[in-house]
Amino acid sequence: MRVPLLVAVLLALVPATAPAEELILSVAVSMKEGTEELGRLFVRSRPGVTLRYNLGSSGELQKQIEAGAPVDVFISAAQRQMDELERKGLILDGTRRVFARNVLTVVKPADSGLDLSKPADLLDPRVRRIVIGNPRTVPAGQYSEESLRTLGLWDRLQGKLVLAENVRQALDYVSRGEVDAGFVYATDAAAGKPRVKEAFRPGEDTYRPIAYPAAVVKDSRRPGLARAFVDLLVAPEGRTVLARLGFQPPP
Amino acid sequence: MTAARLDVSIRTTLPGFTLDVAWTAGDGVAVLFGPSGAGKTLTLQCLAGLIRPERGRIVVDGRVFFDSATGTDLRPQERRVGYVFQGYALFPHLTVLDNVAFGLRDRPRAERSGRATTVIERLGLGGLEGRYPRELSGGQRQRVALARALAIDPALLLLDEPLSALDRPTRESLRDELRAVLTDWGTAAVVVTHDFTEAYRLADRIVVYREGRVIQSAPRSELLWQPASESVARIMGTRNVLHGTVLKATPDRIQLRWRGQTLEAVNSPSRAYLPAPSSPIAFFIRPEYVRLIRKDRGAPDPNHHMNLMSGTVVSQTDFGATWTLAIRLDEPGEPAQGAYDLEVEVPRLVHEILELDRDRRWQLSIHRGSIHVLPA
Amino acid sequence: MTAENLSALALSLRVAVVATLLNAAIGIPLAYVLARRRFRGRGLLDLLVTLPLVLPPTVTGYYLIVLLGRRGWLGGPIYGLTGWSITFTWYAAVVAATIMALPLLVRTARAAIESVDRDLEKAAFTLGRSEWRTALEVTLPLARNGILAGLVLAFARALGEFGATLMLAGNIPGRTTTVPLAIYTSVQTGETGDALVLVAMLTVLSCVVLIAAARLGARAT
Repeated sequence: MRVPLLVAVLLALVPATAPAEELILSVAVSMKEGTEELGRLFVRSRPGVTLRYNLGSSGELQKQIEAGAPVDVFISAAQRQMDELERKGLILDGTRRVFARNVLTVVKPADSGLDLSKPADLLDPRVRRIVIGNPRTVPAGQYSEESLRTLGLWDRLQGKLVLAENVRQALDYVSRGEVDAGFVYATDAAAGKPRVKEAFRPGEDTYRPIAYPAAVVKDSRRPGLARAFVDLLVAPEGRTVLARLGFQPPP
Repeated sequence: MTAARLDVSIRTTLPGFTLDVAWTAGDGVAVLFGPSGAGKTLTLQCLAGLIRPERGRIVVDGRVFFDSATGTDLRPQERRVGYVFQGYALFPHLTVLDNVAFGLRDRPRAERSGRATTVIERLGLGGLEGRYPRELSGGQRQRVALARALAIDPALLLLDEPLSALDRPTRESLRDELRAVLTDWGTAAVVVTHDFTEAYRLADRIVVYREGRVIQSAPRSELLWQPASESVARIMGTRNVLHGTVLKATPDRIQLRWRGQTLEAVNSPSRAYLPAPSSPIAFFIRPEYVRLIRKDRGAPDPNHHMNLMSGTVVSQTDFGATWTLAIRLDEPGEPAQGAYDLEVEVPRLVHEILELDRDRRWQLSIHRGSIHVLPA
Repeated sequence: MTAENLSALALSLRVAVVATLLNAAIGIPLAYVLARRRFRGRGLLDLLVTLPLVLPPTVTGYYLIVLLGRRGWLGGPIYGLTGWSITFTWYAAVVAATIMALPLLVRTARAAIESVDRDLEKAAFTLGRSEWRTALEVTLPLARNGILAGLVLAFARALGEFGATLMLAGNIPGRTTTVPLAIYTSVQTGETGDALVLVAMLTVLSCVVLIAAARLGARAT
């Protein structure tokens, strides 16, 4: 299983006395580019500080923290995983912030000849396979399911659905042409150009708002530094970077 | 001379070894005899078609099995050769009957089991048809292997060390049985062995192998009495192989000097051997042909008692039916064979009559026909 | 025991059985040829067959995608001609399981065949059997226990296949979610009860399989 193994690996990475100043960030895959850019910004004014990124689906990352992984900041792609951790008392009080929002979009391979402009087009027999994140573990998948149910397409598309372990894998399936269409975040679609192109966006009223919470993990060894990072996420500089990448500002 | 049934010539090179042999055999059993590693088994494998020699020709009863000149090479399946392997190679997962019938697949079913049963009976294996090889004794296994090979009515029978895996008493009784079976069946047969007694008992003709070459091919008695060279004599385990110096050689007789004695021997009938005087010469004397002269019958007569010598028995060994004596001659100097000059074999009765336990000093006589020269 | 778990178990068994049958058809002749014949490229063939055993499963999975994916060397033309692709189907799970388990079968079967006394085969030749018939009537029956042990090992490996399967077949409940994949997902979602049931099932199955293999290996020919 990945969880205990990753915990072991992370524990091995953190020596008894951490070198200079180091922060370990568990980041949901769809927030990869955003966090990295903000991370570069963060260390520029802080010499001697290093950031380490631990990427995965929000569900995976939550499990790791529950198992004791020595993480400082958790950035999730959905509220649910953060709610769980908070309920278990694993989050430092008062550090939780929603710092960005995302929207769903449907992408298709760049060389696809299929004409997809609205949700009902997914029922076309020429659309053989559609990828969404695994709703049990991937927030993007949960949102996709919600949207499809609202649109009344969920049951009818069951036979075509392929599940991915995280939203980037979904994007990868589309860009490799293994599937005909896929549900990803708008930010992923941007990152996936030019191999994929956006087909259409399901109405934002068909699913709950996609909010990205961030928080400092209770047992962080550098709570001060961790808090400073989370603060950057909601600061104006942070917001500018995120907007450039396609994220919507928090409500 | 009967036409050769077997005409074999093989030349092939393996890493570290070259086989270069040519021999023929008529009716009866041909035995390939020689030390291990001499190429005997390799020859059998070539005869069977399991190994393809680089050059040569193998003809069996007029049928060309292999001829490198014409590119003929029959597969083992086509040669109809019955092969008894050294470990017997019985199929462990098949019964005796199935083993024996294994080669009969191309015959109608009814004939198959009939023939197999006949062969089983003839080899004294009746009643064992349903047994598995692991349930049989060594002698029984050997017979099953033989039965399996004979069942296919082979054009040629090959046996690789058929008796060496057996204990001594079984080996001796089976040896005579084997000879009887081979003679009865009348199939051309080639047997490989490193034991001279076995070779002698089974063979009509013996082909002597040494380091990949044939050093003598002859009917068995000829080999016994006229080994072609000292090498052959040594391989056969001949005793009293001695070295002297030539005094005079004629086509009939050779006079030689050995350990201070002047000996007269008959010349080798197989070839006109005329070594120059003073050249070295090898010869052998069979231990059982050295006569101890009885002392109660007066002085020895030089005309009757040829090649007279005198010596002392320095040791003796009891072999049950015979005694072997080691005799050192009265000559000064080193004895020819370590502590003694001659091995002499006497029957037990003679040993008792001559009271050899008590009396150690003897005069010996050897008939000139019993001194066999070994051409170089 | 939920319906989903049952379907994962049924799928795992189906995949493992088919994969093992495929392996038998491919692996036994391969083992024979590697054991008994000399030919150019023998070393290369041996290497290729052993590769899935030492490469990380994800690497093997990657090669399978390159070969069989919708845009793969083989998969591409097939998709173009028929509109069908093997990815995300249970056939892909079979392919992944077959390839990952093949080396186990080939190595075990090859050792068993090599241990058969060659004189027995030579005897069969002199008695008129072709090489093909000798293999069928003498060599393989005598190597039977080793070959069966190899098949059992291959079955166990196919049952537990995860990495390459995930890459080529994906994790689609009811279609490609085998027991190992179901365990993975259950742990991810914190459904430890479910996970335990699946883990127990797989453990018991694997033990049964290993005991069977040990028994076969110990039996004298």
